[in-house]
Amino acid sequence: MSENVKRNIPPRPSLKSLEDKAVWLSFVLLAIGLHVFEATLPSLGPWFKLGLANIMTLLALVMLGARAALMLAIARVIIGSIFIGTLFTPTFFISLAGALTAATVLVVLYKMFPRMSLISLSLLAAVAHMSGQFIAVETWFIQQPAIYYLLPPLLLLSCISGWINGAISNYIWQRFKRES
Amino acid sequence: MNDANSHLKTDKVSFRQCLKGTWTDRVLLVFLLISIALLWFQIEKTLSHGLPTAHVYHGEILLASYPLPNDDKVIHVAAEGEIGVSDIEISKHGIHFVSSPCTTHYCMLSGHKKHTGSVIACVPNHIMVVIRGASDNTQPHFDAVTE
Repeated sequence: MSENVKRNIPPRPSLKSLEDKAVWLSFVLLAIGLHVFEATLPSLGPWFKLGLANIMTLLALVMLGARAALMLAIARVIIGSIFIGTLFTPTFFISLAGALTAATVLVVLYKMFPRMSLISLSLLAAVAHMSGQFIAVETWFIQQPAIYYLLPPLLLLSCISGWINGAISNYIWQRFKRES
Repeated sequence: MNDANSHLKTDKVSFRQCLKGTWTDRVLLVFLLISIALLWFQIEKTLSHGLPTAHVYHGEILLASYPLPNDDKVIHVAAEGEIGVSDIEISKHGIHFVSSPCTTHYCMLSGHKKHTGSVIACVPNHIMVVIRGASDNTQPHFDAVTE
C-alpha cells in the first residue's frame, strides 16, 4: 500500500488535466476580455453584436470538448456582465439565453457531424444565438410575436459575423495544430 | 530546393484561405441566406400595406393604437411599463421614443420608424411599438384606442 493511500491523500491530477484546466482558464479570460471589449465598441444596432467571444467557445469545443465549451459560454456571460455592470438585468438574461443556445447548437452539431468545418459550425451557432435571444425576449419581456419582424435583417448580419468568427477560429486552430 | 519551398508554402496557414471556407460552407451560407430572405418576404407579405397604424404594447396588453398622422399633428403616448413611463411620439415622421426609464436607451437611439412592419422595443420596460397596416385583419379597426 502506498504512502498516499495510507494518509488518505487524493492522487495528484495528471499533467494533461492540469494543462487542459490552464488552457480553459486562459480561454475564459480571453472570452471575458472580448465580451467587455465588444461592449465598449460603438453598437451597429440595438440588437446586434459581433459575437467575438464565440471564437473562444468554438476553440474550447474543438480543443477541450463539449463540457468545457458550455462552461466557458456560461462563465464568460456571468463574469463579463459583472465587469460591464449588467448582471441580472434584461441584457444579462438575453445574453445568457443567446450564448447557451449557441453553445448547445455547437455541441450537438459537433457530436453529430465531427467533420463539420468551424465556419459552418460558427454560421449555425450565430443564427442560433440571434434566434435564442429573440425567443428569450418574446418569452420573458415582450410577449408579442411582432418582435420577430426585427429578426430577418439581424439574421443576415449574424451570417456575416458567424462566417468571419468561424474563419478566425479556423485560422487560430490551424496555427495551434501546426505549432504544437 | 524548389520542392522543399513549395511544401513550406502549402503548409503555411493563411487567413485569406481560412476566410474563403470550403464548398460545404458556401452551400450552407447560400441555403441560410435564401431561407432568411424567404422568411423576410413572408413577414412582409403578412403585413398589409394600408394606412400605417402604430400599436403600443406593454407585454401582451395593447395600450394604445393610432394611425400615423399625415399632417403636423404630434401625438404623445405615456406608456407605463415595468420600470416607469416611456414617452412615445407618433407623428408624420413615424414612431419615436422621446424618453425612457431604461439605462441603455437603445429604444431612444432607434430614432424614427415609419414603415409598415417597423418595431421599436424597450425590453427593460416591456414596451413595444409596432407599425402595422390598417387593413391588417388580425387587428381591430380604430381611430384610437387607449387603455
